[in-house]
Amino acid sequence: MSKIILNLILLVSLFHISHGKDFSDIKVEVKGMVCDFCARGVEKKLKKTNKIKEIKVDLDEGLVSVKLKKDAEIKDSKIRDIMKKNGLEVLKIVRNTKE
Amino acid sequence: MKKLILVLFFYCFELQARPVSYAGGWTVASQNNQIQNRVQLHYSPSENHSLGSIFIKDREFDQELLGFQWNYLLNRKNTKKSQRNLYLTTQLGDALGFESNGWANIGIIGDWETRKYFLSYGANTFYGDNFNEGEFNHSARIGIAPYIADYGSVHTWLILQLENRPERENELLVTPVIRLFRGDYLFEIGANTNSLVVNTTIRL
Repeated sequence: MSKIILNLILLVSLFHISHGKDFSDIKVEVKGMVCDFCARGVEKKLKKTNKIKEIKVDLDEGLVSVKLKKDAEIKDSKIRDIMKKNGLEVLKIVRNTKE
Repeated sequence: MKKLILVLFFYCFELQARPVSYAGGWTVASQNNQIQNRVQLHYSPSENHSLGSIFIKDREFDQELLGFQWNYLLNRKNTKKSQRNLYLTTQLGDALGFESNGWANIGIIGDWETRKYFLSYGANTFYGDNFNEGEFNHSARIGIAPYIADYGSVHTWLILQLENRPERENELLVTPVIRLFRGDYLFEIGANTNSLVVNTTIRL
């Protein structure tokens, strides 16, 4: 019985580790993104580039995390332009370099 | 021939939603109470200004106003936790079926918003062909979010709306409003001593 419980704990721990793993290729930290309406335009404009597989928006942290489609690339200047057109200011862009 | 009467509570419509959207964004908004229905549509060619139209139907005075509007972002201050904006709003139109039918409206709107609180204030002056001088009115909103919702969830705001027209009935109209929004859709319901208020905004 204790072995089953131990295995279950291990399974749950593994799930949490994999679930919490950073999925993104690019993280954009912005100023001014305080409401859903503000971020909605960012999501629409990024998706319109046809290079984005997934977007996550964290309003609390002012963070837009982007997962690119396979072999897709998007320049910092394009990201800055999209944020500017949504009335936001980019603080920094961090790219997750894959090994 | 009937004369244009100032439409009651020419409220700063844009307090309901920002008068300028993101570049390339469309906004459709309506404001409805027991006396009036107002609809506006605007498009933002850039993040700094918007162009659009407005239609007001007043059942009490049997008036219909149609106008064009241009709104301009004068100033914006972004921080990590807030955004503050100052806008210039202008409207120019026609009161349908009137002898002297031209009208114009010019105003300013300021807002400040965090994830938890927001404040907005708008002041405008309405001019009509048969008015000796412009009529000033102003309104303000104070809002608090009872909980902090994540992106994509249903957001709720409890709002107190204050309206005043010093040159007509120098009284303060207070309207408690509940705002709900999710994604591109915003809905508000409120009530005051005059009427029930229902507002909607859709961002396209």
